[in-house]
Amino acid sequence: MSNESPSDERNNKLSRRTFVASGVGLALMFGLGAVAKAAPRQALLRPPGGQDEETFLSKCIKCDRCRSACHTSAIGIVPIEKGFLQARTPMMKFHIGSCDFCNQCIDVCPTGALKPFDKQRDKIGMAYLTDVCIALNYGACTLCYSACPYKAITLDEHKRPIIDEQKCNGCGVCENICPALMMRSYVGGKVRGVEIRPISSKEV
Amino acid sequence: MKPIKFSSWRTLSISFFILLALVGLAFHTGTGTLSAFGYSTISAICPLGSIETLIASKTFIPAVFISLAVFLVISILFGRIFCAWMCPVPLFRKWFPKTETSQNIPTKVTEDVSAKEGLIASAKKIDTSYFVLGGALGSTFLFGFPVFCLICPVGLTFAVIVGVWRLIQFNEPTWSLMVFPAVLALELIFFRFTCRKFCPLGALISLMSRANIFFKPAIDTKSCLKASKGADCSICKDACHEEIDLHEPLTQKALSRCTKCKDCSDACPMQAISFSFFKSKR
Repeated sequence: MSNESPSDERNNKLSRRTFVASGVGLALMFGLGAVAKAAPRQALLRPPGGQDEETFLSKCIKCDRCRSACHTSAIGIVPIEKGFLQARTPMMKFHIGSCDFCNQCIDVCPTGALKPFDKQRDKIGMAYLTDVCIALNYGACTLCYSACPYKAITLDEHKRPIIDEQKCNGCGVCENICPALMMRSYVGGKVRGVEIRPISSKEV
Repeated sequence: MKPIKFSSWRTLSISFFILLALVGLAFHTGTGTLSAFGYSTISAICPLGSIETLIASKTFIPAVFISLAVFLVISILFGRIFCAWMCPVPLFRKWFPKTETSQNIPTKVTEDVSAKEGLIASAKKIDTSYFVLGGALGSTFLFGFPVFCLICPVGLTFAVIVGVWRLIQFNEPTWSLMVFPAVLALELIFFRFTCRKFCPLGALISLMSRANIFFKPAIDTKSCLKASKGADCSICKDACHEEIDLHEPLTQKALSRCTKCKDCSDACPMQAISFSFFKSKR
């Protein structure tokens, strides 16, 4: 008896410990899901085909394939400060490159988180002028107007750019070429004179 | 010349998959990381990630399903090789000392009776990682996104690699580079036995490996000191990260945890352990 009881006690202790650990592990996963769900989120500029955020988040496994495949390096990685749930997922970085709708990212996406995209119909986002736009402040700059591949930017009588919301598909060429940050570097901002912003809902 | 240890081969194999990710960073190959890697429209997807996306999106994704089926076939053929030969976590495991065994269970259980009892208890005891797996899948279904991916040590490792690369290439400082290594370290410290006790990916692959056919470890009873001479030797069991005792009658369940890391055969002083391609033991 004296030989058995310590080992019995140890086994009981062990199984109790495993039982508790299993419960903790189970709870941890549900806790993690709840925390991630409740964590503050931002509307982000997704690669083409990832505009429906809920569907996108349910399928994206953060594998890095789309970011790697993008030949213009327009796809970057969401940093953790933009959202716990969205960290490591891809987002457009039009400061680095712009989208020519080559569909590479959609092709390599293993889980279909990026859905087929029609550049005539669908939109990555929408261009907006900001208050550092050189044309709005001083005039003379027409770079975005001449660069836009979809003729979505026209000029008014004072040669200020006007964005056609029908034609703009958020390719980011205008944001990529905008020199406002270089020319007006004393402003100290991070926003260029024109920037692509996410379209919050599924409308399009 | 001494033969190259299996642990070195393993490091080489793991490095190869890290190199693949680096190629994807340096060139626009779309290679991807271990979460999913491939060429063009073909990809090998993490099995847990596959199941998570299927149940999170509640849709049938053919490519994911095919990848999952292929992984199942690989697991049936070769067992849980992913965990020792592809997953980068064992590389860091060296830095976190293997102490849990000596803390909780006395390693030298000399009395025959209590040793038997202990083994029976450990065979019966519930495995924590399967509960984590259940929790991860349940939580994914409930909240509608892959939950375990958020803290997956494999994903975080590659996230750190990608983050460091982008910091250098695009001057992109981010808190991710502080948070991800911290989470990774927490997992490896608090769940020192992440692989055995916590990792739901390992649990899933173990389940898939229940029907494993090839490369099962077996002891040569003639040269094994314990089997032939009754010596009190448990070197192979101590070397095993999954605490599999090859001296016991081996059930498919116990062997399904084997990652084919071959640390036991490296450790055995008699070279009595073999992972022969196809040889049913006994």
